[in-house]
This record gives sequence, C-alpha cells and structure tokens, in this order.
Amino acid sequence: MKQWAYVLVPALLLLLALLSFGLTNDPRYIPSPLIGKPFPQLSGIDLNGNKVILGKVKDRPLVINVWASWCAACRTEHRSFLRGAQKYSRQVEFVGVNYKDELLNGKRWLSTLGDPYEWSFFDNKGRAGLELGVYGVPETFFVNQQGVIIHKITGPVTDASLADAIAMFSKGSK
Amino acid sequence: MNSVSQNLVELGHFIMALAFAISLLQAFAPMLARKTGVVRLAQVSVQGAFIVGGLLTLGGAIMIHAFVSENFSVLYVAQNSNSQLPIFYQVAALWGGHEGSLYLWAWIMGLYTMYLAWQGRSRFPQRLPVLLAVQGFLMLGFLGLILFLSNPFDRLLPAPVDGRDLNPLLQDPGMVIHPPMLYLGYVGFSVPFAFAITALVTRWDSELWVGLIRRWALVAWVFLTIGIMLGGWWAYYELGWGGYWAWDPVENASFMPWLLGTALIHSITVQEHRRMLHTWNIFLVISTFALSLLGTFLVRSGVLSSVHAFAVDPGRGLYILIFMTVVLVISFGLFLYYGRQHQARESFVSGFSRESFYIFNNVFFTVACACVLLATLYPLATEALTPMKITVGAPYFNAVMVPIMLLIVLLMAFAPLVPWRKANPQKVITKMKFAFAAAFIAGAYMAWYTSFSQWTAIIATFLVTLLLVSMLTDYVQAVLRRRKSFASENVVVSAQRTLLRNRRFYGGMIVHFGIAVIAIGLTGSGLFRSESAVLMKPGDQVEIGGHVLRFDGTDRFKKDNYFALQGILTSVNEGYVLRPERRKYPVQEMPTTEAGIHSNLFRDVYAVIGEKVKDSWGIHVYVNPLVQFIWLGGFIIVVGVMFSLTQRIRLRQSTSVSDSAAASAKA
Repeated sequence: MKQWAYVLVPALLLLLALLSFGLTNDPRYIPSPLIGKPFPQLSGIDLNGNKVILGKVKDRPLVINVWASWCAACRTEHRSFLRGAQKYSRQVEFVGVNYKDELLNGKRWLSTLGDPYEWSFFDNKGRAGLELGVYGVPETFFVNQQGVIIHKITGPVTDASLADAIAMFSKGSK
Repeated sequence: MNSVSQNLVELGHFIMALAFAISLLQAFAPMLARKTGVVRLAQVSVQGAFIVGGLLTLGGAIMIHAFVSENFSVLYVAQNSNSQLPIFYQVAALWGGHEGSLYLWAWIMGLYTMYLAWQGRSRFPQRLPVLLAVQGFLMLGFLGLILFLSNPFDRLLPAPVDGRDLNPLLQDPGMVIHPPMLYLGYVGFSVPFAFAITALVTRWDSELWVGLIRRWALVAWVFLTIGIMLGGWWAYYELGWGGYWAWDPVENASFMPWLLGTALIHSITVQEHRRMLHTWNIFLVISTFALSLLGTFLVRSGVLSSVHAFAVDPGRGLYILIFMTVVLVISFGLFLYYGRQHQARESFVSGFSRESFYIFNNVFFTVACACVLLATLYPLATEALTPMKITVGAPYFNAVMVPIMLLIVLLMAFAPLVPWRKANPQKVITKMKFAFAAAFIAGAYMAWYTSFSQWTAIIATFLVTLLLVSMLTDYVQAVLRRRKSFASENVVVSAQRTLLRNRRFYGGMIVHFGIAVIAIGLTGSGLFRSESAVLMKPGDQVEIGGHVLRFDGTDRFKKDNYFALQGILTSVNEGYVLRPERRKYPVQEMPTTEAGIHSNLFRDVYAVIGEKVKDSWGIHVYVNPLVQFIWLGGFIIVVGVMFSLTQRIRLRQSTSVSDSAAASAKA
C-alpha cells in the first residue's frame, strides 16, 4: 500500500488545496485588459435624444454603468446606485449605458425604479458594449479625471464594492 | 393558502430535524453496540434507515404540496414558483434551485438506503448495520447542510402575493428529468462506496460482496448516462447554439464519475471471473463516489465559472468542502491503512487475454477521467499561481479525448472476442476477418468521400465499422455453434436463446452497440456540420447543405406563462416547416430560445431566430448530420443495461439449488 500512499496523499492534498483556494476566489471576476487604458470615447445620443460623448470627463471622475431593462441582475444593483448617487454625486459623475435595449423600455425602467444617472448613453446596437468588451450586463467602469479606466466591476455592484471603487479615485490622485 | 398548508410546512421543518437526529443514531449505532457490547443496538441503524427514508419522503411530499398549493410564505417556493406556472413545473420546481436540489439528493439517498436495508436483511445481515452506518454518515452530512445552511422549509413572512417564478431555462421537460436522473446516478455510487468502507473496516472479503455492488454500480451508471444524455439533449434544442456538449465544468463534473464508473463496472467483472484487481476495485469505488461529491461541490459552490450559474453562497461552499475533505480523508485513509488485506488472489497468465484488455479499458477510462479532471481544475491552478485568468475549452478536450475515445472503440471491437486467461492472437484475428474487410471498405469509402481531408472521420468510420461487424459476426458464430448442438431448433429460436441464455454478456454487447451508435452521431455532427447566419426579410431564401429554406415571417402568441415569437421557415424542396421560437417570461423578464428542428435519422435541420434589425431578422441555421444517432444510442444503452440486469433473477431460479429447493418446499 506504500506506493498507493505516495500517489494518493499528494494528489488529495493538492486537490483540497486547490478547491479551498477556489472557494476564496470569485469566479465571476474577470480582469479587463482595459484597466490602465484610456476610456474609448464614443459620440451618440442619450435617452432624451441629446448629442453626447460617452467617456468625456468634465469636472469629476466617471462611474459608467452598463445596464438594460431586460437584465435581472441590474435590478438588484439598482438600489446601490440610487444610494450611491445621493452619497457621491459631488465626487463622481454617474453615467449609464443603456445596452441593447428598446428606448421606451429603458425610459420606463428609469421612471419606475428611479434614475441614479446624470444621463444615460443610448446604445441599442451594443456599439459601446463592443468597444468596452462587455461580457454581460451589468458591468461598471471607473474612469478617473485623466480619462483612464482604473477599475471595473463585472456583475452587480453592492454598496460596499461601489464605495471601495470610488475610494480608489481619491487614492489615485494623491 | 390555508392553515393546513401553513402548518404542514412547519411539520416538514420538524421532520428534517428529526431525520437529522435519526441519521445521527444510524451512523453511530454499530459503534455504540461495539463499545457497550449490546449487539442488538446495531439494529438501530437498520430501523433508522427505514425511518429516515420514510421521513424524507414525507418531507418531500410536503414540499411538493407547498409548491402545488402555491404557498409563497415558503421562501424557496416564492423564489422558484409562480401562480402562472403550469402544475407539472410546479412539482418539478422542487429541484429548480439550490435548496431543493440538495433536498432531492438527500431524499434519493434515503430511498436507496431504505432499499439497501430491505435487500440486506436476508442477504448480508451481519454487515448491514455497518453499511447503513456509512450511509448514515453521508446522510448526516447532507442533512446538516440542508437543515442549517440551505433549508427549503424556511419561511418568508409576510408572504408575497406571487412568486419569482421558476428559471425559464428550466421550464422544459428535458430539464425536469435531468437533475433527478443525475442524482440517482451520483447517489447510487454511494452504495458501492458504503460496501467498500464496510469491507475495509470489518475485513469483509471483497469476493463476497463485489458481485452485489456490480448491480448497484450498473444501475447508478445507467442513471448517470440518462442524466448526461438528457442534459445534452436539452442544451441542443434549448440553448440554440447547435451543439449538445460544451465541456463546461459542470458537464465535466458529471462526466468524470461516469468515466470512472465505466472503468468500475468493467473491473468488477475481472474480479468476479479471475480473482484479480481487489485493491484496485476498492480504489475505483471510493474514487467514483469521491468524484460524485466533487461534482456536487463544483456545481453547488460556484468555484468555477460555468453556464450553470447557481447562486453562490460561500458558507455552503465551505461546508461542502469540509464535508468532502472529511469523507475523502477518512475513506482514502482507511483504504491506505486496511487496503493490503484485500489483495488479488491470482495473477496474469498472459498479456493477450480478456483480463488484460479489461486492464486496458481501465487504463483508458482512468486516463480520460484524469485528463478531464486536470482540465477542469487547471483554471483554478493557474489563477492560484499566476494573475492570469484562463478557461480550458473544447480544443484541448477534442485533442485529448478524441484519440482516447477512438482507442476505446478499438478495444471494444476485439476485447469481447478474446477468451479469459490465455488467448491465441491468430484465432482472434481470424474471427475478425470479416470485420476487418468491412472496416477497410467503409474507411476507404470515407476517405474517398472526404477526399482524405478528415482523418478523424476516416479512422472513426474504420473503427466503428470494425466494432459493429465484429459484434455481429461474433453473435452469428455463437448462434451457429448453438445450432450445431441443438439441431432441432429453428434459426429464430436459436438466435433468441443465444441472447437470452447469456444476458449479462449480450446486455453488455447491446451497450457497446449503443456506444457505437453514439460514436456515429458524434462523428457526423462533430465533423460534418454546416451552419450559416443570415439576415432575412419575409420571402427571402437561404441555402444550406442542400436545403433551401424560405422565411415566411413571424408569429406572436401568448401561452401559459410566457410570450412567444415564432419565426416560420419553410423548406422549399421538402415542404416541412421550422418554427424557431424566442420566449419571454414576464416574471423574470428573461428571454429564452427554442430551436426549430426538423429531424430524420440522417440529419437535423436546425434554426434559431435572433434579433430584428430594421425589417429583417437574424436567422441562424445549421444542418447537423446524424445527431439523432446520439439520442438513439443513449436509448440502446438503457435497453442493454436493463437486459443485462434481468440475468440474476433468472439464474437464481434455475441454478441455485437451495433457492429452488426452498421454492418448491413453499409451493
């Protein structure tokens, strides 16, 4: 049985070590190659038909959230954005990207659930999604004052993850 | 919702706690009996097994009642059902989420254990309490998880008016049966596991029980097969990407125990016939069940990203990991400590014999399983050691698994013709001359057909033909041999009796035949698929693989709990109509697709309707040759296993002297 032990014991230890590592690890975390790169600027219209440029920094860093009315997970993170918009609107500008959606559905969604965004980019063809390499909705990009993406959250944000990410802006400026 | 229904749920909750307590007794009774010297105490495990099985059945019935009576004060019901949901899916919603799936696991385990207890009272009464104690430990682990971390009886008060609905992807007959089949497979392997542990602890000679677990392993294996096939079938027509298997971690999680289980049912036969591989069999039994547990862990903890994106709860993941660690450490520890008592009684006579080819079978299947395990965990390893995030995809699996699978087909073609102990290679080759001739012709035809471009297809054609013809000639030769000794029988009777008098062998051959049929399907659909994605206006035509389809516009309607948009594609040459569908389930605002498929034995014409762009629709059409062979092969496998399982009953009636004496005494 000794030969068995030489193979079995290390294999078992390795397996359990890997699995316990896996447990502490978020499988939905996907590093974006865009981090550290400038946000690709896109011109288009917002939900009210005004001409806008997505990714253009005015006076504050940007929190750009990709959402859609058909996306169930967006609903769960929406409250965090509503609270976040109240708390941090002086420090950052919240911008929505209404991704692959019908204009009316998007507008109805904002009017019933509340609108945390200063404006929302209308991206019904998913062009912005392509430029940003969006895997799935929701995704949130954090763009600093220099227009560089410093962080990205895949999947719904929480109050805590939003606060942490916004705190990164002030750290970066020091 | 009435007060009866309300109180029933509390009763269910109580039943869970009671079942937990009784499995605690069941698990420790034999130890207590030994410590105290009160031998009768061990029987508590047996009674406990019956009681736990009964309690879990009652709890399951209560849960189903809560679903059907739309009792949304139960959190799990509110999350997974809706008043608009058809009643069929309300029942099936029991295993539509995390809590209920685990409950189903425990429930099935309770029923299996109950059956084991019933079977064991006459056949192996001395070891039965220990066997059931092992089952009790496993049950305890699962009931603890259910009771403390994922309780389906938890309440949501005040009750919502309506539920969140069952995940629309699961609202499909294929998906309703898929999880219970998989669980019947996974959990089924717990019984051989209990035998192995009992044998190690009580020094039970494995020759006395290996025949008993063969049937359990076979039953678990066939359920696992059905579960995997149903999963593929569902993915094929529901997910709308034209395929049936994606090497997703969760698919791999069910495939690994299947591979080792296949090795197991073969190596058991070697032990029965040749008194070898005793240690190896115990190792396989433990590993197969360990992989079933690993599968549950991978699916239920969210460690790997997968299409089966279940809610991730670190507490539950941690619990399952600890539970799995305890089970693996104890069982492999016992194996290393006591394993030497279970040694082979005989050894090889020759390298060219039935048993040596069984060894090859075991090597191939174990290697295949190791490759899948490695690739499934590889992303975790790279992430642990480097900042990279990678996934291992189909190219790796195709490169590694296709050659192994082809070797397995080759092995299947001649191994059953090789006799035990020592064989004459010359004789086997002579037996197979027809098969080789046919295989060369078929391979040459394939080479001509693909003009030597598809080597995999040419080799696969060669091997599958070799397998089919060698099985057929072997059978024909067996019938002819019988005709020689029973000249009075007519041919049909001889053919029947050859099959019926050796059910175990021919059951296995039918399973091999099913595998060959699946191999045909995999080759055809994997290598000769054509597809095309086009934008179509009503009236437009698309040509694919010789099929011309005309787009005749769309149709919208409401059914049950969803809205459907149907595209209508008419075949210009053959007249059939494809109706690919997109459904929207308003409660979860989730879109799903239903492919429109026209099948015959030789090809599926498969269409998916996508988005509307201006006035045209995105239409994706595929021609998948021979896909139906895969499902047909799965069906043949089930038939083969059932045929093989009918053997023992027959044997007991005819060969066992004591049994027939007892029967005649009763009569």
